[in-house]
Amino acid sequence: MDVKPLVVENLTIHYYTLEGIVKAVRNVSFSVEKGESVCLVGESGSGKSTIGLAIVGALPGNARIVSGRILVNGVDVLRLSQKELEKIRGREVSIIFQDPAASFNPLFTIGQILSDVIKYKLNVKDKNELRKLALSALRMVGLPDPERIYNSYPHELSGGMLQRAAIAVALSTKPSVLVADEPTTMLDVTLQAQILDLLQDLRRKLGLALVFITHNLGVAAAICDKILVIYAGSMVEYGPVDEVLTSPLHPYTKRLLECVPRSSARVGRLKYIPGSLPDLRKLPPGCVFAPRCSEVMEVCKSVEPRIVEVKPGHMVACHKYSR
Amino acid sequence: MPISREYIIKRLILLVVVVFGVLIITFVITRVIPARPELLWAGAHPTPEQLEKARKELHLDEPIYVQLYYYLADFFRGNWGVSWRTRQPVLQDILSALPATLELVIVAFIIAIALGVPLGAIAALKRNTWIDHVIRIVSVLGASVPVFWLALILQLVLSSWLGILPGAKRVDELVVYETGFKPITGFILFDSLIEGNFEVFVNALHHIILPAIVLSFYPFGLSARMTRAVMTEVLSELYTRSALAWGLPRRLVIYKYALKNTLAPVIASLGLSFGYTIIGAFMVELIFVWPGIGLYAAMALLSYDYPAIMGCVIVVAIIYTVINMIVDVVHAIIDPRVKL
Ligand SMILES: Nc1ncnc2c1ncn2[C@@H]1O[C@H](COP(=O)(O)OP(=O)(O)O)[C@@H](O)[C@H]1O
Ligand SMILES: [Mg+2]
Repeated sequence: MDVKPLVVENLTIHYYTLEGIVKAVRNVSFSVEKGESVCLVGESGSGKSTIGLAIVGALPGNARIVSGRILVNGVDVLRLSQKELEKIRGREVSIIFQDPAASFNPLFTIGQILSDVIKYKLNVKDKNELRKLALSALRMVGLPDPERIYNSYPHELSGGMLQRAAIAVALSTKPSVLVADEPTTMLDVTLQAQILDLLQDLRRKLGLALVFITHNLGVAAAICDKILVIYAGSMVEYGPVDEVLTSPLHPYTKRLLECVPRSSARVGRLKYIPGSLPDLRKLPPGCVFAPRCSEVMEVCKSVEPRIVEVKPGHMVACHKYSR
Repeated sequence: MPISREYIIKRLILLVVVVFGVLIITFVITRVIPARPELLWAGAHPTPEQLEKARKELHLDEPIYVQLYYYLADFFRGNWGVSWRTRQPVLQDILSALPATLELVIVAFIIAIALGVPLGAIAALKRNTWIDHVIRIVSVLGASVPVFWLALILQLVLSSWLGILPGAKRVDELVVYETGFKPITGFILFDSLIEGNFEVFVNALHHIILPAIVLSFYPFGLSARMTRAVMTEVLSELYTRSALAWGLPRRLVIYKYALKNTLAPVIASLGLSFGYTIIGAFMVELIFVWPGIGLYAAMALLSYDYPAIMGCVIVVAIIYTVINMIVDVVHAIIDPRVKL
C-alpha cells in the first residue's frame, strides 16, 4: 500500500499568551489520500488555521505542539531538525492563505518571489530555465499575460490574480500536500467559484492531497471528499462529505447545516448558532459544545466524549452515540 | 524610478519656502530687532567711517522693505557679506568648509549604518536573549551619551594617553606638502584616492576615525533600535511567514526579503536625525579642530561674527531640506508603492 501524503494524529497545540495558555487544538486526527481533499470546517476561532500552519511548520513563535504526529509522506515532520524541515517546506507541503495581498512581500515582484522559490526548492541555477519554469507556473494557474504578472508588484494586481499567483508559487515546486486556508473568503463571489474550480482542477491533474479550510459548509460541499468538523479546537465529526451532509450525527453539525440556506448551498454562509465559542484558556469539563447544545444530557457536562466510529469511516464525538 | 515632475517642482518650491523663511527670520533678528544693525555688520571696534560704510551697504537709511529687498537680492547674488574673523567672503568660507563636514558626517553615517543595522537585525532575531540585551544596552548608550563628553573622553584616552589615533585636524600638513597633494573637491579621502595619493589617503583616514566614531554614536544607536523594532514587526508579518512556508531558506527570507522591508523606515529615521547629528558635528569639529562648517560656525558664534553665523544657519537649513529630499528618493527606490 502507498503511504498517505498526509496523516495527522492526535494533534494538540497550545498558544502561550500573557493571559494564559490557549488550548487552540486538541486531539485532532485525520488523513488525506493522494488526489483527495479534506475540509476543515468550523466557526472562526475554532483552530483551523492553527492546524494548517502546523502542517507546513509555520506556527507563530508562541505556539507549542504539545503532542501528536504529523506524517508527510510517512515522515514525522515534528521530529525533524530545522534544516530538514526547511527542505520539506514548499517541496512536499505548501500553503496558500486567506489574504493573498498580505502573503506577498510588497517590495518584491511576483517573479522575484516565484523564481526564488523555484531556485531554492528545485535547485535550478540557470536564469533562463528559472524564468521559463516561473512563467509556466503562472500559466498553469490560468493567469493571462504571465510576463506582465511576473514583473508586477503585489499592489499592482487584484485579489483574484494574487490568489492565483499564490497558488502558482505554492504549486511551482510540485508538493504532494497543499493547505488552502480559506483561500476564497476575501474574494468576490464570482472569483470564489473560479478559484475553487482552479483548485479542483489542479488537484485532479497533479494528484494533490488538499487540506481545504473553510467556515462555509456550502464551499465544503462543493470541493471536498471528506469533512472534518471542528468546534473549539476539538474534532466533533469526521466522515465522507455525502454522509456528513445528508445524515449528520453531531448536534453541532446539524445546527451548522441548518444555517446554510437551502436554495444555494454553494454560496451559503454560516448564520449564527446561539451562544459563542468557550474561552479556550478555561475550558469547561465535559463536552466543549454542551453549553450551546440543544440535546444536552447530564453526562455531557462532566465527561468529555471520545470519538467513535459509528459507520465505516464516519466518526463522531458525542455521548448520544457512545455505548 | 518613479519620480514625477510634480514631486520635483513641489520639492523645489519647498526648498525656496524654507530658504525664504530662514532669510526672513535672520533678517528680523539682525536688522529689525537691533537698534543699530550696522554694529553687527561692521566688525568689532569699528571706526565711524566703517560704520557709515556698513549703513550704506545695508541700506539702513531706506525703508525696511527696501532693506529686505536688498538683503534677499544680495543673498541670491552670492553676496553673503564678509566674515569679521577671517576677512573672507562668507560664502567662500562656507563652501571651502562644507566638504570637511560632509566627509565627516558621511563616514560617521557609514559606520553607524554598517554597525547599527546588522546589530539591530541580530537583536530582532535573538529577541530576549542575552545578545539582545547587550545590543540594547550598547545602542541605548550610543543614542544617549552626550557627544561632547564622549569626544573628550575618547580624545583623552585614545589620543592623549594611548596615542593610537590623532586627536585633531583632518590630515598632517607635512604629508600634504611632501606629496604635493592638491585637493580637487575638498573631500580629502575621495581626492587622494582618485589621485592615487595613498599616503595622504591613509593619513586622512587615520585622522577621521576618531571624530567619525564619536559622531556615529547617536545615529548608530538610533539605527540599531529602529532596525530591531521594524525587523521584529516585519518578521511577524504574513508575507514573511508565507515566504518561509513556501520553502524559502530562512537566511534568504531574513537577509534578502525582511532586511529590505526594514531599511526604508530606518533610513527615514536617520534622515530625521540629521539635524541632531549636525549639532553633534559642531561640537565634534570644535573638539577635534576639524576645519568644517561646525568649527566655522562655532568660531563665528564665539566672536559674534554675524555675517558668518547667518551664512551657516542658511546653509544648514538648505542641507536639511536636501537631506529630506534624498530620504524621499531613497524610499521611492526601495518601495515600489511610493510614487513621488
Ligand atoms: N499567535 C497566537 N497567539 C495566541 N492565540 C492565538 C494565536 N493565533 C491564534 N490564536 C488563538 O487560537 C485560536 C484558534 O485560532 P485559529 O487557528 O486562527 O482559528 P480559525 O482559523 O479557525 O479561525 C483562537 O482562539 C485564536 O484566538
Ligand atoms: Mg483562520
